[in-house]
Amino acid sequence: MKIKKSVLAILLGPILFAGCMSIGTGHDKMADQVNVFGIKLFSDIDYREINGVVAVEEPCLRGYERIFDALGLVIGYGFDKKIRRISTRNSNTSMFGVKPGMALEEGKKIILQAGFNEYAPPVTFRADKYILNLLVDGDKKIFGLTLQSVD
Amino acid sequence: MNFIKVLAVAAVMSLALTGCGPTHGTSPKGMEIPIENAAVKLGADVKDGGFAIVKTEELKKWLDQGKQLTIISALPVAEDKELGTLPGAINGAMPKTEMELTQADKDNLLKVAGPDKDKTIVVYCGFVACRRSSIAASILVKNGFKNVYKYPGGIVAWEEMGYPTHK
Repeated sequence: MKIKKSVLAILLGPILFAGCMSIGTGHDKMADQVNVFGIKLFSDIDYREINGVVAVEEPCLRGYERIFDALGLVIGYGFDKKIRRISTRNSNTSMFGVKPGMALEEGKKIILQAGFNEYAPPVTFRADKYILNLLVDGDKKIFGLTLQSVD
Repeated sequence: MNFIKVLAVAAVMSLALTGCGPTHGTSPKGMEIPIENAAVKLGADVKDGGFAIVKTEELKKWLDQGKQLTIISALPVAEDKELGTLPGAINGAMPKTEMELTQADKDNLLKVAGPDKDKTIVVYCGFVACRRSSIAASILVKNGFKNVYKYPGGIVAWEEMGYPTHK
């Protein structure tokens, strides 16, 4: 009986451990592909100043937003103080390999290869709990990206 | 005995002070700084955008009188569905900031507003500090619409008054 229990523990342990790891890795993988001043979705870091730019705070129906005008950046927080939305038009930032300045078609290809599916064509894509919106100008150029969580 | 007198005086004084009541500023529920921020932004938006504003009671009166209006909600469609809309409102969703405004947003708003530039248009969003409706009103004015009003109180003020919404 004791041997059976030990065998079971040996077998189940790694499976459970791997399960936990895969959730973490999935989140991390997603977060690692967002290169916007190191900001991560679902983080509770209270960004008030980034690179010397002080945010202007505005209320929303479901939380509040910090607007960093000079950086072309908006961070949206929920009432739980977790980051729910990141919006950037800063050309030094990127999400999933898509950068402001790219052509819509090019960005679309990259985002579909990154595992997103078309959600509200032609500019909105979804992967699991993430919605990515490409901000496109009249010349079909991407001038910004908005990533938000879906509850 | 003296100690009891002091206690009694202190108690009476504190009661008297409470009777004067705490100052509550613009709103009995609200804090003054966010109200000031929203008021200053609204003032600047109205000045820069060249549109007018209409208050909750005035707008209700217009609707009760059957005044010809085009009411546009600048909230996202999902929020309109969840919160309800003002009677007869159509959706012309706008982003929260100018920074995120796209050509498609502008085109959709102008399509929703229609070709008649003389009609009265009222745009609204969530509440006074919400700038979606300011962005919409400003675009409409820039595109030649002559009678554009922002309803600052938005859906929150409308519901606060217990006025009907459409879901």
